[in-house]
Amino acid sequence: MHRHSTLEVRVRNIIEETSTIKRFTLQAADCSMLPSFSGGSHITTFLPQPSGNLERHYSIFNTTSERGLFEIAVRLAEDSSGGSRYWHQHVQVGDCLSVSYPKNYFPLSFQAKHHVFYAAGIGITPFLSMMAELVDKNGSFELHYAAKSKEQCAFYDYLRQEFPDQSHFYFSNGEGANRLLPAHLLNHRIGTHVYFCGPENMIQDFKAAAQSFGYPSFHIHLERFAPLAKKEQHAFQVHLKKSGGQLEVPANVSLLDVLLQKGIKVPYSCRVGGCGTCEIKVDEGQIVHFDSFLSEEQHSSQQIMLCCVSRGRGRLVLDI
Amino acid sequence: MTIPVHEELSFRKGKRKYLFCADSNGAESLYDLVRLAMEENAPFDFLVIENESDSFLDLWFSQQKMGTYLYMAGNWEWVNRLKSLAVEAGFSEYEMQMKALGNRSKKVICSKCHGVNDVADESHISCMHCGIKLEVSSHYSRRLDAYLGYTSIL
Repeated sequence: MHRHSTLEVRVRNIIEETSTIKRFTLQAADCSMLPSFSGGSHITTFLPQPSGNLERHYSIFNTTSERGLFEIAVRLAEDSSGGSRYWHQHVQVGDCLSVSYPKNYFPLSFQAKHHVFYAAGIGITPFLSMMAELVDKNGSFELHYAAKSKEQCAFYDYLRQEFPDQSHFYFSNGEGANRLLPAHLLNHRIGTHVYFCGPENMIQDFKAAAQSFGYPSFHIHLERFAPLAKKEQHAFQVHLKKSGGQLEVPANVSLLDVLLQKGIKVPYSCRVGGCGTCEIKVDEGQIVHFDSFLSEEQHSSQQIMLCCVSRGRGRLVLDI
Repeated sequence: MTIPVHEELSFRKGKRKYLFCADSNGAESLYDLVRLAMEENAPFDFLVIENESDSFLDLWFSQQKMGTYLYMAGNWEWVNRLKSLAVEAGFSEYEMQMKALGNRSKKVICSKCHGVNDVADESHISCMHCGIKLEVSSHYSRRLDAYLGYTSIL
């Protein structure tokens, strides 16, 4: 059977969750059922632009009572590079667009005795499908969710209704502000796995705290939808050992993009250093890692890198 | 889940608490680690376990918080029992180390016929099922709780 690499979907419904977050319900354009997906899955959406398709990743969930639908929630970013602005300002009910099949780089641990989700803002979205999956499996979990206020808290009523015993809210604005702090991590029983999704500084703070409390990396899970901010953005050179080429990687372009532009078919997927698809071997040179996929041992070995986000200092010799 | 047993125990710095469990023979193996935990000013519990019930140990393990690291030292049967209880309570292989004392047969899987052999300390055996000569490797399978026996190429 021939299988298309993308799915054609139609926007069935749009709901304003908050003043900055919209929820879109997507159905198959031919009215068939969209594929099922596991908790933490996402799709890539292909947004038509004059300069070509804009690829953006969004977690998928389904809060409706109907099977075979995808829902995504999009926050209008103040510094939008096009994706969220397109969703908020151009997409209407009835519009058709292409999306990828579901992929999952943020699955639930099958070894955890207890799952604890830490979300801030739009970071709630992957946890909607994860919690639904755990309810089906009778799994043990809790949610700690931070927002500026009740009004800015997407899915507040839904969460209170569906997961009343597991949901804990933290609103930072107004009187009696209650902040979500990394010290919460001290309370979790042995066998807990923790999951972080939210702004980069929130992820960094919680990850660092968990490690400082002695959590093994195996028990810490996180998802980024944007690459880690790079402190250094220098140009560097790569020598391709097998094909013999020499390439310059400019400061504002990724090594992956340079390789693809030169026709070198490197497999890739997430483009944010989270999935490991674009791993390449490095024979010589100093790698500066920006991924969240490889282990500390793999980073210090200086023998492999994820070319979508990581860079070199000076000159790298690649085994391609 | 099964977890390989360590030949030697190593100290894992940076944990919020340490649990040291031993039978009467294993306690001495843990003294150096206890000293290191004390130098770290880390809280620890040291428990010599002989006849405690499974329910007591399950409760004790289950009440521990994330960031706790478990060391165990004792004879093989004791280590296997404690390991099962710890895993059941939620400890993963990244939160524990154990040392087993005395001889114990280990399982070796024949790479030709996949038969299971019980082996003591031998480095080379003949598979009791198909007769081929096997070198006992350090390639351990958590799923099978067994080591792979390579065929010896002569």
